[in-house]
Amino acid sequence: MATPLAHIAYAVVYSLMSKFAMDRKTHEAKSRERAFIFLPKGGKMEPTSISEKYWTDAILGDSMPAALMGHPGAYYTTVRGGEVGIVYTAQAILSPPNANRIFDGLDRLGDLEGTWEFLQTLDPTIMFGMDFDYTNLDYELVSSDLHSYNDRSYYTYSSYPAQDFIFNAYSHSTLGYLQQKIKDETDGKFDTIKPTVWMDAPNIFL
Amino acid sequence: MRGGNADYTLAQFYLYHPVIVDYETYKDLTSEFKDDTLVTGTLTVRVKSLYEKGGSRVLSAGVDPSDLLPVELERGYKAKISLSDGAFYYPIKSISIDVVMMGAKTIHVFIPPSYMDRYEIVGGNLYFTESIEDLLFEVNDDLEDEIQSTSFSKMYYKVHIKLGRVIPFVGRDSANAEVQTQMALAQNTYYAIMEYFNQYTFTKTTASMIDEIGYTALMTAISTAISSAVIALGSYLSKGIGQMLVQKGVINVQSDLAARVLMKNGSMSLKGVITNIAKSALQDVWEEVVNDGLIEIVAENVVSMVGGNEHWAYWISNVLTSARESASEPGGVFHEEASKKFQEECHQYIMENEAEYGSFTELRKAFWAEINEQQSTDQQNRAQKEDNKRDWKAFLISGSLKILGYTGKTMGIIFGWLNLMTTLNVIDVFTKGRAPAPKNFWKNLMIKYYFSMKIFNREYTFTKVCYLNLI
Repeated sequence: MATPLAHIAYAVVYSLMSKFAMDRKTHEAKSRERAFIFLPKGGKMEPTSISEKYWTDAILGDSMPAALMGHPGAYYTTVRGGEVGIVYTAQAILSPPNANRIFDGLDRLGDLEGTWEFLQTLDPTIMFGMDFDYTNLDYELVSSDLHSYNDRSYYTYSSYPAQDFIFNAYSHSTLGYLQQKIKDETDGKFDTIKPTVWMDAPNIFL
Repeated sequence: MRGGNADYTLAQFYLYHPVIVDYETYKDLTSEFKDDTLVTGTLTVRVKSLYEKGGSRVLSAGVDPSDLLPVELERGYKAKISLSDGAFYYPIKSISIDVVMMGAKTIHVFIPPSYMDRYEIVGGNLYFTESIEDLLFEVNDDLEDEIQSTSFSKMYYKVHIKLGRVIPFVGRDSANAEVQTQMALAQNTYYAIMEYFNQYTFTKTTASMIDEIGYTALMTAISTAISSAVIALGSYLSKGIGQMLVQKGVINVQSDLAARVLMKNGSMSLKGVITNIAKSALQDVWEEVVNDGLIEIVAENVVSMVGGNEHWAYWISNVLTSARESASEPGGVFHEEASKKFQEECHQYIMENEAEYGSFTELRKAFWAEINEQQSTDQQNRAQKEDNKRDWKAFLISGSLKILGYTGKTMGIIFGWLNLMTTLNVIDVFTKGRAPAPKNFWKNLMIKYYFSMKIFNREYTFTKVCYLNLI
């Protein structure tokens, strides 16, 4: 009887304290937003999202398990644009995915080996994959809209069959697709996507 | 970005164009696969057939090529396939059309290069200067007879447009050289920017992950090592108290097995203690970094993906991680070790008394029945002793030890907390070169609270181990 009670007490206290801290931060953020953002009559606070991350990236994200797996997925930036009260957001791919970070050939288990090394030493810098890929950026993967034709009725597109899967998966996060999409969504009112650097960090505006 | 006058000051437009490479690179790309796989792509559009058979139009579905604006008809276009809303600058390498007669056959018609003047891409649309049917029948003389003689339910065209994704630089003397040069410069500029974005994002993310994993691992390892050592010490002390209770007669042990277990069980060597501390630390690091991390991201993101809000995501994640904590019983290595020794003792006893008990299950039943009976008898005896005040010496020893035990545990928790606080602050000083900043007060408090709760959990495990050892 005492054992489950102890576990329940631990879980309840820990959960409530964590929730309290999270709610406090959320309320702070919302208050700050209310204090500094002015909306015209009829404007809305929540932006309209025109593209989301690929589902595996939405789940794994930039979490610790993703890192331990060797960062196989893509990394995105949230694109913002529009006017006060009519804001659009989108997920644009900045760092393309690379499955080779997990399995680098048949003779090497890539980052799974690195995870084992990490467990032996507890030194996270030992993990493989936590450095540069030494591979060139796939320009089409971040910019071409051609694979998004596969979402349209009566249209299909294929380039290099072995890579079509990966291009199709990320077709909604390319600069080409997003520029076309925002143009369609706003009847041409917003028609350009512009990459820029702000405070050393990549930013893309609609 | 808004349109209008801003368009005139924008940099060269680089999207929806083929990548321009020098001729040598292009040659390498086309020779690698002995074809143009790496430099082309095929856009296929299902187009509605407007052919009339037997006086009526055939059944068909697809993009309507006759949907032309008056201004387009004035320019002489007879058919149109819309590709993009304005921007589409990929050159057409070739066009082929499949005439699909459903339920019968498909006839492939390749449009030769000599017919390239019959189509063009303007403003994101592919225009034909004659209808698709006329073009098909001109290229393939027998096609109309084939269609007339074939019975089918529906007919449509699959227009395969082979596009140039990568094109070679044509040379400075070409009429197109200036346009290509501008585009190549724009593409190179944006490639450099996108490559910077790629490197920056990947580096920043991996650095953050190294930081987070390292911090979590270090804190968990230290916390577990400290609490495991405390548990080991507590287990050792409780064993001593248990043995003393037996020796002093506070607990009257009649069972041969119970006496053996009480007197021998739990005597772990120093090497075993150190090994188990390391084992606990590694086990906990794995659970914190891998198990909890996986549970949290899967629970939170899946909940939000199926439409749940952040509060639901939090509670589901929290329940799952709490269940994991309860199931894995952090710091339970010592408990497992004690249980293992207990089992060994029991097995040895069975070997020696096999004839009497027959099986481990039978022994277990007999053992617990005996222990329960013994406890009941002891309680009755003690109550009687207390009532009669006949054994003042045993009563005093028993009461004092209880007070000592409770005081020790309370002080252990308090000093454990203080010790942890100090250790965490020292770690902050060594790893960050400074004590925690006031602005991180809540964060640090939560982390410290979390670890202290884990210690509390282990304290409870410690109590359980003592209890198991004592009974």
